[in-house]
Amino acid sequence: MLLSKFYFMLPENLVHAKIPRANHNSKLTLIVAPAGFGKSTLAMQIISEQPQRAAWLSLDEHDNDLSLFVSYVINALQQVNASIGQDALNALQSDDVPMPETLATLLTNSMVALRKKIMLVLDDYHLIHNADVLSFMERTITYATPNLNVVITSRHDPQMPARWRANGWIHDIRADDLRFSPQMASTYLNTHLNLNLAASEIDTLMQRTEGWISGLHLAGLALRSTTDRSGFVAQFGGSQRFVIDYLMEEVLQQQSDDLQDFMRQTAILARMNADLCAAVVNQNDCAQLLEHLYTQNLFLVSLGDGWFRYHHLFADVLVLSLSAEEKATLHHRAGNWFQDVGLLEEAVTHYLAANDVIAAVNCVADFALPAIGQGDHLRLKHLLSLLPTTSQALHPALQVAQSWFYAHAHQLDAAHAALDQITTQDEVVQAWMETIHALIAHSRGNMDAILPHIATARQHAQPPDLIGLYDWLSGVALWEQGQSLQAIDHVHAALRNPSVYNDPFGYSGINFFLSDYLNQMGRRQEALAICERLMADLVDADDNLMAHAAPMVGQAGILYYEADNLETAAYLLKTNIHLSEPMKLTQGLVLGRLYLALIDYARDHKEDAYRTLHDARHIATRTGSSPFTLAVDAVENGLYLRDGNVERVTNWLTQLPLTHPRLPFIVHLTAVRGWVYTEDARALSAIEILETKARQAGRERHLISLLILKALHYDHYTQHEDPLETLREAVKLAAMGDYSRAFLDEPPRLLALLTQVRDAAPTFVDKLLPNEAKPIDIAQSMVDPLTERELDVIKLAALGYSNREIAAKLFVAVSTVKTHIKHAFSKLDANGSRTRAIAHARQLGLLHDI
Amino acid sequence: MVTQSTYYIIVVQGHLGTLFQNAFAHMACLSRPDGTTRMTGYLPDQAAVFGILNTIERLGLTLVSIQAQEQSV
Repeated sequence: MLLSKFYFMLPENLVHAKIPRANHNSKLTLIVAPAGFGKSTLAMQIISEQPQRAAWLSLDEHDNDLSLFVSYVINALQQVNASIGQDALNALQSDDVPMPETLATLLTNSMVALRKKIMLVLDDYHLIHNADVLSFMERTITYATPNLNVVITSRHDPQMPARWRANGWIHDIRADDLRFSPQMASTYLNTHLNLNLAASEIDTLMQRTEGWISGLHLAGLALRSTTDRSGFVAQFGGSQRFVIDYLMEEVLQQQSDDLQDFMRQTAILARMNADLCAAVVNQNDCAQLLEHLYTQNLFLVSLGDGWFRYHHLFADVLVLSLSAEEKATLHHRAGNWFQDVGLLEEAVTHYLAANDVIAAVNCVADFALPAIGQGDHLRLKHLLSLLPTTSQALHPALQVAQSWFYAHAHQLDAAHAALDQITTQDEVVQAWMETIHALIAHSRGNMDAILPHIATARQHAQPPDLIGLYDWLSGVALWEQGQSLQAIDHVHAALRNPSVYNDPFGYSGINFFLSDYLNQMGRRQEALAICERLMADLVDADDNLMAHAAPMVGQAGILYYEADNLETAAYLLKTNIHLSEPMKLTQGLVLGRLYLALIDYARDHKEDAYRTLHDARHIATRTGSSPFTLAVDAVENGLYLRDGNVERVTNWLTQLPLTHPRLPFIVHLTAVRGWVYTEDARALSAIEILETKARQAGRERHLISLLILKALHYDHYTQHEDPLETLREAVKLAAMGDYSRAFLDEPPRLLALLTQVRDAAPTFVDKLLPNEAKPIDIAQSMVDPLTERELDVIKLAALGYSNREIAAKLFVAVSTVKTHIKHAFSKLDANGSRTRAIAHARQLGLLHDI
Repeated sequence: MVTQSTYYIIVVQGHLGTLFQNAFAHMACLSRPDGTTRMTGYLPDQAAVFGILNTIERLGLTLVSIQAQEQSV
């Protein structure tokens, strides 16, 4: 891919008069004609009015790769306007290459707000045959707003939907439009080249070349050094030889033998500068030779910065005279040169053209492992794709790279199988193999296996590219083992490693984990500071958040939710969902909705809350992510509990896969809450097991919720334990990080208890209470309060007495008890259910004294 | 479907010198009085056919006709 700037051949003032004009809704200017018809020259002419508004791509065979093609297109467009396509570029960095449609949407979305027209020129589009690339361009053009105009030059018609032409979207320019008129030919030959040809001679040349620009150009070159011009024209006119064939021979014969050799040998190069030519032809005067060819208009196109290429048609003709052996030697020299200067794509192409697969493989292998370590995944994938499919087995580093890509795409069995095939003594390669084993273990949730693999890897080698990974994986493993402080040290170390910055999703991802870890440890402010720093960094030129900022934005939303700042939280969570949408980042789409549902519920929009959860479940199920689905169920059942819908929760509790290896903490917590509310015997022991773990690991955020539940449990069911001491500890822990919602998402009864532990953190507790220092009036919190008698009946029912027993205790008739119960049920919104009535009453704090 | 080696007759506009004939090494080239070149030869498969068509496009030649024939020719 080259950004060509200059074209020879057509002098500036020689403008095609015949070119049809574009209509207003045309989105695509399509210049289709055979080789040598001046397509690129015309494209230059089209953009020449406003070259600074045009992005130019000269395509080659390498560009048949979606990631590469899209990144080149966007880089070119960003030269015109830096705000274009950053999201699409970032999307390319993620583990799964996005769909062409997704990339096209991201790109066109970023151009909606553009005020000025922009042109995208795709030169030599006939070289593109990759279906993904073609479909990306099809979508991009379909969605393009009127301010994007695509110009395509191609030797044959590209595939496109028939409706484009019907819609008037295509501005067609074809071979006949590009032929020189006799007038243009005369201006070119007589005025520009000063050949003084007679009108009849011009006629002969026109007939012979049919206005073909390359033919006329060659004729001009040949005539320039010919004394008998009339004789030349007559002879050419009388010949039946193919125009280019005849004229190339003439033109070449006029050059010195040395120059002819130089041209033929360098014609194997897709692009060249003096240094490269010197390496390929073993000569030193290449700079002068190139300069001579260029000034003499001998087929060279300047690409700027001392780079040239031959005009495609003439290069193809020039190489015809080389033997296969000569070509192989020349390609090999070119491969060496490109490898030395680090242009590996071209080195590989030349080695393969020289039939030297081993050289090509070694060239990629030297690059592979550092590339993985530095997050240069796109380029490595592309280099691998250039090699023959069987060549990975030729070098262990390539096998490692392949395994790495499988592991990243969550094809864990394939990754494992690829590792099993490697036999090597190379310490660095073995270190990589162990690291990938650790990654696979991580993806499988087999956390205990990570640290042994990393330890073995460290023994093999400690290349700079791997140190960051060692730290990161060790951090995750230690965290899972409850070694929180060491885990955080390792994550910090990983973030200090410069290689993580090269991978935007990796960098954002590791920061997300760090923030999450800190929050779980009760360090909400520190966790939030990380989010805010990242959010300030991860913006494009227009200050818009980029897609890979999504996890940090969502995490910030959660942290604001914790502190009961619902408005900010809702805004951030919606932004997170919006940013996660184009790339379908499950985490953002599900987690964002979970917390939005909690916010809805907190604002008393219960129906919205359940609807949002329904959406979240749908997304989690679609992606088959069981931890996410379990989390959605947990949040939903948490809301059922708050509603007093105990039966549903009981049902959920019986089906809960408590042995699931990666059960989210929210599931544990909701299960415990369910047991507390349903008087399940498991409640206290479950709390104590989790509490011990949380204390050992320093997960204070977990501890806060567990202590609150323990206090509620003591308050409800035991006379021996004092709930207030437990609650006091929770308040002290929560006050520092302002974990308000931990208390506000529990039944109002908790608030009544809180007034009694105000001394633990007065400011914090006062903030939680709806009306400062005044215990809430429980009876008033119901729309229609229970009468004293109804309350007595419910209390006895909660203690498990039957209607008959209650009647006996209260010295009333059974029918009276039934009437009281009926009224109470209706006031408690229990819908005829005794269990539900009791749960509601408990939730309202009416039963705290039994 | 043509699966076996098939005999092809390809006609392009203009006579070809030795240099250009090199580009079609597996075909016999015959210059005809009507100013066209007739290239004939056996091509193993469709990939070979499209390889030739691609070369014709690359060199800017004009394709006049292409015809596959039974082996008895």
